Amino acid sequence: MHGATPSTGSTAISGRSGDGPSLVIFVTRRVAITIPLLLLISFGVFALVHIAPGDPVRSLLGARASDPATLAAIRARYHLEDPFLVQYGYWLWQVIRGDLGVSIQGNRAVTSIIADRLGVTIFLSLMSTTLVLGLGILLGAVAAFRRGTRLDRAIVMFGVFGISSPAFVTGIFLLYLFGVLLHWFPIFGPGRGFLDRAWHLTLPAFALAISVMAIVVKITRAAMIEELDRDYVTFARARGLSSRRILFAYVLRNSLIPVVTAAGLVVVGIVAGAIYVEVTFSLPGLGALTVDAIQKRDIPTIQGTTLLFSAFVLLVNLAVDVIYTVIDPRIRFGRVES
Amino acid sequence: MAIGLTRRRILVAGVTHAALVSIAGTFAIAPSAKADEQIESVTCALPSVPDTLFIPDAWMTYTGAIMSLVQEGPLSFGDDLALGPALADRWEEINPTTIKYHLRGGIKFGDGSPLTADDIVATFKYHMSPDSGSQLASFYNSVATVEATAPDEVTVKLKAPNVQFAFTPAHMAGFVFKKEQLADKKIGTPEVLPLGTGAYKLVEFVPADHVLLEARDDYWGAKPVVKRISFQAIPDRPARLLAMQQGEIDCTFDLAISDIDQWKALGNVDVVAAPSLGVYLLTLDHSAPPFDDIHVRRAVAYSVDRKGLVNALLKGNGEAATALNPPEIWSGVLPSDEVRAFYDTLLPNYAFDLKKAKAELAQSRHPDGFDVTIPASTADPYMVNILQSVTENLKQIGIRAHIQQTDNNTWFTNYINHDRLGMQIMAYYPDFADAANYPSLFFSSANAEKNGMNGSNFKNPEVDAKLKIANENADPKARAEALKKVFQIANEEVAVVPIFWPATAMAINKKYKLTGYTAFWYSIPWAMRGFGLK
Amino acid sequence: MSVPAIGETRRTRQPLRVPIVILIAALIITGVAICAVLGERIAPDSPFLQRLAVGDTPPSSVHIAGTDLFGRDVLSRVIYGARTALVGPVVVAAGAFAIATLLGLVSGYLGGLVDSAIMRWVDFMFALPVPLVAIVVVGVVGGGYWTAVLVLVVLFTAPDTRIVRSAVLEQRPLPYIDAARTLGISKTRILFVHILPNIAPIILAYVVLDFAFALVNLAGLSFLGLGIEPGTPDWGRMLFENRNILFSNPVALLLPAGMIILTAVSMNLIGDWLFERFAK
Repeated sequence: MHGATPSTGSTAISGRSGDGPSLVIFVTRRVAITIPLLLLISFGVFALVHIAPGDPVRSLLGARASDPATLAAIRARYHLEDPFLVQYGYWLWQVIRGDLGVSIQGNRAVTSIIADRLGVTIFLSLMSTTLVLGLGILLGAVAAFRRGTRLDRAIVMFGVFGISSPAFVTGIFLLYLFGVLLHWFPIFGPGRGFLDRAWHLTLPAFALAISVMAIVVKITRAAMIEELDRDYVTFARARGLSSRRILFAYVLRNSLIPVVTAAGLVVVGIVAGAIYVEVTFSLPGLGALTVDAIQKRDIPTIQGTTLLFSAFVLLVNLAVDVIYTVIDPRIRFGRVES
Repeated sequence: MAIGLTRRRILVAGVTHAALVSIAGTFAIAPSAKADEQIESVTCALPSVPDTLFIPDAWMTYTGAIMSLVQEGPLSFGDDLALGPALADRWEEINPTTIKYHLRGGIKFGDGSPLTADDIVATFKYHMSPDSGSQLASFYNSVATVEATAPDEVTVKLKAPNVQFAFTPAHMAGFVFKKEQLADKKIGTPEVLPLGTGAYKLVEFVPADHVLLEARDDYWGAKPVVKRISFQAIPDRPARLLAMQQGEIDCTFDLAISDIDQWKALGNVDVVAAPSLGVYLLTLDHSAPPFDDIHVRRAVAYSVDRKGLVNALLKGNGEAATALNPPEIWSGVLPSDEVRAFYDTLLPNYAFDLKKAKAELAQSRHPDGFDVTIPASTADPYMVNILQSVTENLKQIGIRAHIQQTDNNTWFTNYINHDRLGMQIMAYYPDFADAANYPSLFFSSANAEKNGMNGSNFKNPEVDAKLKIANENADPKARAEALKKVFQIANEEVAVVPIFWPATAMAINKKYKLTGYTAFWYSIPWAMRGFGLK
Repeated sequence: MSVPAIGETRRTRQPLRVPIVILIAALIITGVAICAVLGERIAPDSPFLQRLAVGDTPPSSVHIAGTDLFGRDVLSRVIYGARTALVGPVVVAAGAFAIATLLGLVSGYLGGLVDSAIMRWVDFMFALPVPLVAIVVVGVVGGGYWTAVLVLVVLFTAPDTRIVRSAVLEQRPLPYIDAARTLGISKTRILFVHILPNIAPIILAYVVLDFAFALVNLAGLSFLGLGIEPGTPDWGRMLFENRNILFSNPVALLLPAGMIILTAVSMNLIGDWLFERFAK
């Protein structure tokens, strides 16, 4: 969610397909870059145990009774006697086999804790992604069509406001207004069953969406303005095609291409925002789990969630690049550089 | 995030002090509401719901609040915090190292299977086994053997006389599991919900989110008043308050006392408070500069605005601590009004006085002050806030004090390892009420080392001698005299700087009442202790 | 953060006309800056003075914004808090861009192996969710406010490098660079004397946008209780501490929250405007 510019949607991650016009080669290269990135991230996550001040055994053991047998078990499990890189190798092998270790609180496998929490976060993220895309594109399009009017300025202001207010502040505000004063929505918990859950997660999803929507609004608006100024639109208008038809058939479709590149930013924004929103709304999701684990220095759990979040972001970026290459033919012919 | 965390984690350093104290106290329980007053369901919020309901892996107050309704130990605490019968209808001390528990007949687990002496033996042995990694293992440190000496009798043999063990069968460490379940690796997860002999059984468990309990028809004791109890995790303090205001929850435990006025202002809510028997204190390392200097220690003692802190942080729900032991923990040794009168005679009296603090510092070897960094756990609701006040006052007398926020593990590990102690803040809550418990932990030279709680490294031969008397002599009068002497010396030497004794509080919808709320709410089946419609 | 509007029509350089909104935004930032510099002198009361006997009270004639849990004057703390609110983000934005400018210039102008190496690193950093990494690193390593600032500097460097590099790439084919090269001017000189001034406006615009993003992120860390030392008058920290007195003195929460939003909105508006006005 950083202010890096995907301007005219040039690169989300510079793919360097300039010398390889074939889509297959591009995708292969792109995947080939992702694998070392994943390894680097996993290495950083692994290193957390050793970066953390104090004895790694303590970090991994937590407050469990530290009798010699338990200590030996921890040392053996994490191969702490071995050189650093060997430890990493063992750890990575375990991770690949789906074993993220054991939480220092509760002695449960990190994978099963994550599995318990995943549902809420996925639901919340999907719901706010829908909101971000739906509302964001709509608002961006409206602003572009009404460029220069008060409505346009209001929409742009709303976007700036959303991106400037931390998700937890927006969250508290929404909670107070709609939960407490108006009684429209429940104030805690993730709900049970689909509809109930959607109802419970409405406020959090909005709080999350508002903080990310500006990206989509801005890009849609700018791309639409660019498209609207193009010759084919003027031409179509001159030929008497209705402006609604122009909007849907051509302008919107062409404008959506840059929006796709922003998906990477949107996903990063939502993942990060989810942490704060889950804390604010007391939702038992992965974000709240991460914060809780940090507060309790539960290193195996922190490793698990961080790895999951980062890998997710990385894979979304990969997917975005691939989709982008597929839908925008220009990319294939070497416009990627710059 | 939770006071409970601190409470539970701290006892890792179990202490062993041989003692022989009469364990048969009076046992009083507030009667539950009449059976015809059935309540369909009640929803309670907890600051968190654990990831597992298996107590040996999740020794926290919040696990206790749930599982004390499902599981029972051989013994139980009464409303007066004294020991009383539960699964065992009687127990006897054959000699100082042998205790026999006689089981009540006809008790069944939630699945209908009968409770046997083997289940109790298996539970105790589970905690004692090094392979299990039980967080409550230290409570069994003094146990040599545990055996089923008859189908309805369990005999525990101790390595040496130990007063602490008498309480173990009554709190979470004593909650009895079904033997077969203990062998199941998945126990505590939603797939294998722990069975117990309590008035309720677990019906649904979504880790970290909610738990649903249902009253049993075949419970051996009084009929449960509430048919269904659900626990919902609401970690965020304002959110819990809002949920209560909206009537979405009926009760909640472990209120941050700082928020208590906001809870009282809700109108539809009663706040139930009781002394927690906990204490907040500063320890000052006597073995190294600058705190080896009595004048520096006194300067610190004068710089703590205890009354102000009780007012600002506890909203008056607690007491400024004049000594380590809260008066109520002396029960059985001295009545609390006599304790207070005794505390008033302690000299010097370290009431908040920055002038005296400055004067003491001027007399010390560090008249120009010094730098000190105090680690504090962010999991505790008061530590960081107490230190905000203390460091500000210390800065005014020239001691440049800084707060280092850490997670609970780091803070506690640092403390218990006795590595560069300097000034530390400690919060301690007991699992049972005994007057010699705190002084033994914090003042005995045996604990002034790694894995000991004596973070001041306070060593005094006379104190050690008196503590031995207090721990081994059964006569309350002799114990009282010995402990009084201990507190006099500790006060004079500033062994620790006590801060306050907080109350513990829960909130409940005005429709209901809960008369049996005590400091040990997480070790007793609260819904069976005077809970009902008003 | 903000994604600058693309494809705005390129206005011909007119005499500088500043929209009223931008003027207001600039005024707000000036106000915050004055508070940061003069702090103690403007504040009606000491931001550190505790009155434990008073505790948290709603606004009154004595304390216009009420008091917090320790009886400290909220208004004074908010005024004083402008200091950390500005210093951290300024260091983050300036630090990140100082590094990014260097890397971006080198990478964009030299190309080749150096460029590849820098860009691979940027790709890697870019794939990280910044706020999450900040939370995890500050949470695990500890170390307070300056750790948080340092982490953000490192994390911000990557996207900023890419921006500078793109800007440099746009300049490289332009005739004046060719001319300079033919004249035999050294690479370093071309980079710093010729290219840098030309891309300075775009850098400035992004520095301002980075500032806003850093402010929100640092506030987020403080909100989780990470970062700054307790007791420091800091807007984010005030959100964290005063959340629990939401009902006894809501102003203690709303005022710092409002200030964070106001400052970030102003900075974002100024950044966007700078971008559109100069960087196109």
